[in-house]
Amino acid sequence: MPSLAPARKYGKCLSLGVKAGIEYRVNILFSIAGAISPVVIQTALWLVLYAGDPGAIMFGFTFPQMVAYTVIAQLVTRIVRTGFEYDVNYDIKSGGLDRYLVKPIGYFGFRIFSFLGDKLVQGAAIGALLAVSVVVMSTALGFATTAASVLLFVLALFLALAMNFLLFWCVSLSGFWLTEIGFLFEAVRIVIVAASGGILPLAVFGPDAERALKLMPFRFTIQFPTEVLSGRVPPSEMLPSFALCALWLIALAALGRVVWGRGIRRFAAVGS
Amino acid sequence: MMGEIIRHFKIWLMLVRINFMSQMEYRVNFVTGILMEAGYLLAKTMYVIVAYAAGRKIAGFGPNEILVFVGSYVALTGFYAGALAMNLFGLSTIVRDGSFDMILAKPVNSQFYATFRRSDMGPFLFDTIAGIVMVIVGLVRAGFGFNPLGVLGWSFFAASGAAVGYALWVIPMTFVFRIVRADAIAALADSFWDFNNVPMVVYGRVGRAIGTFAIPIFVITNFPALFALGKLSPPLIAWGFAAPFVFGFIAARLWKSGLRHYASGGN
Repeated sequence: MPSLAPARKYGKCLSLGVKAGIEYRVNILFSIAGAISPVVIQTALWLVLYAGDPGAIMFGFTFPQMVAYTVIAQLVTRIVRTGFEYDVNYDIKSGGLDRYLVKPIGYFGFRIFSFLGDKLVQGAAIGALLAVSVVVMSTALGFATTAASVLLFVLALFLALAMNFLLFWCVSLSGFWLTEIGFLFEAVRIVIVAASGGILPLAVFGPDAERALKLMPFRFTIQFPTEVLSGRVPPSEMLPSFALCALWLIALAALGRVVWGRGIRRFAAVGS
Repeated sequence: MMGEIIRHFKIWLMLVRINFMSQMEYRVNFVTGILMEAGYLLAKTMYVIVAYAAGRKIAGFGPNEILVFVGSYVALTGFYAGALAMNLFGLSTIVRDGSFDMILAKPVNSQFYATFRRSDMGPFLFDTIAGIVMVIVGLVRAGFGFNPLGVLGWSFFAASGAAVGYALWVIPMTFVFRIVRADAIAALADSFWDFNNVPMVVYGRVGRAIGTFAIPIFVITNFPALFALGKLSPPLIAWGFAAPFVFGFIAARLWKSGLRHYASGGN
């Protein structure tokens, strides 16, 4: 039987992801609603902290920059959030993974293209809200961005999606060794979000911790795209940052490949 | 009345024991559940880091006092995450699939059983202990010595806050009998919990009034901290006594009225 062309196979996976995204569109609304409380809490906190000295710079941010960071980072967090790790764990645990092993399609490819398809729908909805937020912040806070920043933001966001996918792909493969890991995913997620600047900017941790965290892959999932859109990444740092991001992507992809290779040898398809 | 409360408390202790035994069958899950709470604790303490690192007061409260607020919030989160959340999130499912019938058939109050039947001692103990330690450290660093009245007051307002928190989460969940699929309501109610991560004084007068009297979210964890810091005014002390009864009564009435709409549809 002639094998399907890769572009066609994975194009189908992408369209399946898009359909899933449209089917569960109410989830997008809840996801956006979930961003409201952190934005309100943090804005109230920053209002009080900057009160009396609107020109103050705290953690390297002026008040408008801090509010803009809060809003953009919360929306980026929602865009890059994964969920496929539960499906991978279920496939391993239930033995359903064996169905994919005999199909003329790679499981990794199936998962990443389904994930990206789902994110196309979410990204479009949340991206529209982000565009509205940028316009509102431009009027209310004097927030400014450029066409170049927007283009680089789209690229950084795409890499952030790939980075978060690879991080959780590696974590999800622990299902080959552990049977009960539902809570582990959430534990890892909250630590990654904190280390990505998804709750507060990394500068809050202090200069030493910030320097160390900037070398890790996590910030490329939230803080880096957020700062690219805000124009806070100096031009001299742009290329090295993208290069470091690419290096981490390659390293995580290689790690995922090694772990998959070892894990699949342990897979017994119990339950299928 | 008192006898009924004691009887239900004994039943709850038995349910906790059964849940704990069942959790011990899956120990990795129990440990990873605690790891997850540790992750959430890290997220909550980031606000304390901001208070210390910013080097300025937040609406009149110094970093040590902010630690008392966040500690109270973490301690009460133990009650919410360990004793309440999984029941509220699971309510929609048991109403939808009809297994709520079994709860109605039991010789205990249905509201009590449906909202307390499951518990998770991992987050309950982890958050409660971590929160109390944070409160003690914050108070000691802020120069407060050991004060039995302060300990009693904090414990009373923490218990009062837990009761108000319980009522506030049961009230929206009573809609589950009318609309059946109420996962969204549970998720939305859950997101309100985080408003206690910072002192209520940061929300401005209107926000404070709404959060204290209309939807008394701040009674839950801000009142114990304010009392321990000696900044809870007499009218708010009175409200701290009254709010659990007012909102507990409303929750019980809405539960009873909601039950009339239960159609046992999944069977």
